[in-house]
This record gives sequence, structure tokens and C-alpha cells, in this order.
Amino acid sequence: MVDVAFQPNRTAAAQSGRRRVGLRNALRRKSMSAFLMTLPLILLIAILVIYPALYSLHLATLNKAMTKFVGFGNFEFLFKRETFWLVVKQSCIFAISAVIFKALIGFIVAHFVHNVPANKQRKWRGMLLVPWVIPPAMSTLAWLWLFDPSYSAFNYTLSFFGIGPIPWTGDAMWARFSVILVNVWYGAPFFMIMYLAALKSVPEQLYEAAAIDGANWWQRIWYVTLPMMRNIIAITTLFSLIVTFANFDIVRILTAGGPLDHTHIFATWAFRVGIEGSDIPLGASVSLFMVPILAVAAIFILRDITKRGNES
Amino acid sequence: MADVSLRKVVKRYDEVEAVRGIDLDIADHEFVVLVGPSGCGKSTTLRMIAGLEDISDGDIMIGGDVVNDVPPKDRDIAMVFQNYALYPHMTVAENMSFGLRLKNYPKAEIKSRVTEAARMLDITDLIDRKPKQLSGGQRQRVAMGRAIVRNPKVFLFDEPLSNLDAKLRVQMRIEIKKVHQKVRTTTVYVTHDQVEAMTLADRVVVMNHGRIEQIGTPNELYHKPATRFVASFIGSPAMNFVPCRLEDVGGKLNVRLTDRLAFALPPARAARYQALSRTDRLLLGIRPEHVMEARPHAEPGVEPFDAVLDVTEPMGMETLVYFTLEGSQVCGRVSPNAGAQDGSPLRLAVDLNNMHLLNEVTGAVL
Repeated sequence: MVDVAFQPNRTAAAQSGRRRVGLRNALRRKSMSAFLMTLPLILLIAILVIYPALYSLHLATLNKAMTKFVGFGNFEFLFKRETFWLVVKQSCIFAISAVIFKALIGFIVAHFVHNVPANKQRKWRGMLLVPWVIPPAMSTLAWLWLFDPSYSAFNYTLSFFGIGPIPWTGDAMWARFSVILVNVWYGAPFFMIMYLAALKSVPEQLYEAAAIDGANWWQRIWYVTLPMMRNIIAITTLFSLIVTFANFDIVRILTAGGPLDHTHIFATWAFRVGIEGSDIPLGASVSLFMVPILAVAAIFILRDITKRGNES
Repeated sequence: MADVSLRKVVKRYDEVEAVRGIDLDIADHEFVVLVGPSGCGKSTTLRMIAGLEDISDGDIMIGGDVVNDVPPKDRDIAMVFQNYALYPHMTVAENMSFGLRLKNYPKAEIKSRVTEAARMLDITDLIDRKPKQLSGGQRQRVAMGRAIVRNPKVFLFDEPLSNLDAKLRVQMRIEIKKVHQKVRTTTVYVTHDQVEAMTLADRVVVMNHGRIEQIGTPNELYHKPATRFVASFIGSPAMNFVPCRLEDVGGKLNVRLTDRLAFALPPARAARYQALSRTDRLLLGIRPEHVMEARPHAEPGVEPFDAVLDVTEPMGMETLVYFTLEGSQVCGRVSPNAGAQDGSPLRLAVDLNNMHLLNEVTGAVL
């Protein structure tokens, strides 16, 4: 198959006797053809991932004017700043709580959709996916209006119950709540669709066997559904943790890190110090901090997946 | 342990009636097999006994109690599924003890029951493995073990051997029979394989189109089928059916198959069929083993005839011969030494002492 695919090269190579034989032999080898076929992707990754990653490592070691090598100077400077530790804390709170709620809500909604009769399921699936399909920058603008302290729909509605006005984005705790809420709203449909697919792949007879064995509704979820979905839960959680950790647009638009840096996470703060503060090396250093934290999470969760793979 | 009774049980799916009013009494300790072609309602019936399907009409009783609205977990039954339905994330021991653990049995009791069942099924060495590490036969043993440890009132088997290869199926069949001899639990077993039904059952229930065609011991079904469906479904190769009619010749009753071929009925059969109309369209039902090579000194009731063989199938201990009579293919079983060859004539004999006469229209055995 591979040999046939590369036949046109024969005519091109026919001009030079020695080169022709060499090239043809090289192409005959499967590893060579495989390498050539993956080359476009390798180049793409090299240009768009490896080069920027190495370049940011290089940037992180320069001074503010990018004229002098300072080694770990930027990192030492960061460790001494309170705002940095605030950002670390907030990134963890933001990512972990958002992912937990996304997974929880996705799981519950997936169960409801799974129990909807098949002919109506498509409609529900489509409607529930809407938050995930809208570009987050646009939907966050809508949320910004909803959160407006004086004229918003939320505070207006709550005023009927004698509650509020709530400073959705003005108070540190409420602002954290708001960015997490919007992120959960945006990300839960992804979990829902993944869990729905996983639910569909659990054989119906396992539930029947469990029903006969005496399991009630909760025990069926705990002993059958969750173990059967463990891999997909682990993968989606990891994936979402990485994406949420690196989130930028929602926080940037909703609070821009405010009030008083109390909603900044790594990406928004890196933007603040790097681009807005014109200290690109410091911004690069901030963003590099995400790598070890996410790497640890990835190792833990992926290790569990391979272990599970061997078991079953 | 308990008896199981079905009273006019009906299952409707929207417009379709899958089960159309079944009456069945299964005695305590009995092994009953529901058999029939796919779509005959046998699995649905079993699932209704299990409580996995609602009953549209009628009553199901287990141990004398009506269980129509009792959920599966409270019916005290155990079920073995076709694809085993083992929990893939649990070990064999965990799979077997799952039901007991849910009911909060003491640990010591669970352990002793699992050990005992594992010993009975010869899976003691596999107890810590996961289902993925087991072969099909081993998985089926575990599924049976899971049923046994519960010590339920009724065992339900839903085509448990269909996923196994032919050799393993025979082995597991014997295994199931042994287990039933030991534990004596009332068992309802569903299969589409008539050999399984015949070999395992105390009584066989033949179902077709959501109705029970006949209930009886394996021998009754084989030798005294009530309908054409039962006659053709039980037995392999299947019973032959040849259109025929009765005629009186010189005070004797004959069965005429073709213009040139007619047999005089043996006295017992003649007496039985005497009252039948001579003009009715009938079918002669005869099993392949009652169509054999002609022997010089034939017993009474064994009538010789000549046939031209279409196809022969040497099976080793016998040869199956196929020929055509009045447009119907007929199968006979002859000795491998009878000289049967494709396309060649052979003198055969039919044992009319074991014949059946059926009404061609109603399919009833007369």
C-alpha cells in the first residue's frame, strides 16, 4: 500500500541512478514513510507548541527590558509578592470548584437526558449544548449585563424577595462566585455530552443483574454506573481541569481580575503583568507556573487510567 | 424454594402482543425449559417472572404470592444472563457476593457461601480474578455462582449457553444439570436450542407466537407432539411432512402419498384413523429415523418403497438421505453400509407404527 502510494517518486528519481536506488529504498522502509506522513503534524507542533514553550522559558530568564539574563530572578521576585500567592490560591479554587460542579451537574443532567425517550433526546441534547457552542466571550458579555449591580435582571428579580442588591462582581467573594458560576454554565454541557455517551455504553443487563441482586437506585449508580464510567470521568476531569486552569476569557471579561486582584487566575494575571504591565518576562514566568501544577494532575489521573485499563 | 404459577399472563408493547395469555404451573424443585424460535415470547415471559418487564395482564405467583407489582429485588429470584452480565470492575468473589453484601449478610456467612459455590462450580482458583481474565465458560460459571450463593426461591436462565462454542455448550449443559441435582432449586430456563431443552428439562414448554403450543416431558413432546409446530421444532433432523389422504381399499385403510405410492396402515393406526374423513387434506408426519433402508424380513407395519436420492450426508454412524415425494423433501436415516449414493435409487422402508397424521389446515396432530 505504502509502496504504491510513493510510486510517482520513481520517475522523479530516475534521473540520477545512484540517488534513485537510495531514495527508493528509503521510501520502501515503513518507518520512513510513516515519518514522512506524520511530518506535517510534527512541524505544526514544533512551530506552534515546542518553539513557543522554549521561547517562554527563555523569556522568563530575562529582565524587564529583555536585555539581560537574570536566571531565576523573576521567580524569586514572584515568590516574594503576595499577589502571586493570591493568584495561586484563586486559580486552584477557581479550577477545582468549577470542575467539581461541572462534573456534578453534567452527571446529573446526563442521567435525566439518558432517561428521556429516544425520540425526544436529540432535542434536549441540542438545547443543553447551547452554552458550550456559543463563543464564551459573547456569552460572558451577556452574563456581565445580568450581573450589573443596579439594572441587572438578577438583582431586579431578587428585589421582589427582599434580597439584595448583590454586588455580583464588586465584592471579592461574590466576584469569585460569579466567575465560577459562568464557567460552570459554560463547561457543564461538555461533561453532560461525555457522560451521556458513557452512560449509553453501560450494558443494560448490568443494571438488570444489579436490580435482581437487590440494588436500589443509589446502589446501582454507586456500584455499576460510577465504576463503569471511571475512565471517562477521569479523562474529562483532567481535560477540564487543564482548560479551566488556563481559562482567560471569562475572568477577563467579567471582572478583569478585580476587585483588587481577587479574581485573578494565572492566565489573566500573566496578561496583566506581561502585556498591560509591559513586563513580558515576568508574565512568561507567571504562565510557566501552570505547567508543573497541571503536569502533576495529569500524571496522577492518567496513571489511574492505565491501571484501570490493565485491570479490566 | 417455591413453585411458580402464571395465570393468563399477557405482555403488550403498544400494538404488538408479545405474550398472549400464558398459563403455566411450575412445581417446586422442577426444571422447566421454555423453548421456541426467536420472537416467540419466551424471553419476555422469563423477564416478566424476574420482574424486569411489567405484566400487561394476568398474574404471576411465586410461592403462592402474587408478585405482579413486586420489584425484582424483592422476588427472591436469581437470574443468569446470556452475556453473563458480570460486573467488570469486581473480582469473581465480589461478583458472587454482591447480592449478599447489599443485604448486609455477616462476612463469615458470605465467605462460606461463596467458597461453597466456587467449590461446586470448580472456580475456586479464579476467585480473585476479574471477569476480563476469564474464558466464556468460566464467566458463565461465575454467573451461575452468583445465582447459587443467593439461595433464591427460583433460578432463571436466559439463554445462558448461547455465547459459548458447541463443545463448551455440551459441557456446561451437563454442569447445569449437576448443579440442579445438588441444589434442587426451581428453575426456569429459556433457550432456542431444542437439544438443550430436551436434555435439561423435567418438562419442556414449547412456545410460538406468544402462545404455549405444548407442555410435556421431553419424551412426550418427541413421541406425542400435539401440533405440527411442535413436531417440526423438536427433533433434529426435523420430522418429514408429506401431503396424503386416506382411502379404503378392500376393507383396509390405506394412506396414499402419490398416485403410485400408498401404504396399508397397521391395525392399531387404522383403528385410530378410521373415523377421519377420506377427503380431508392430511399430512403424513414421519421422523427421519423411521425412514430407513428396506430389510428382507420386515416387521409388520414397515412398508418398503423405492426412492431416488437427491443428496446423501454421511454422518459416520449413519447416513442421512434426502429424496423428494410429491414436492416435499423427505429425510431418512440409513446405515452407512446401505450403499446410499447421490442421485442413485435406493429401496427404503417406512415404519408406519411411528407415523403421525396431521390436519394440513389446522396443523393439529390427529
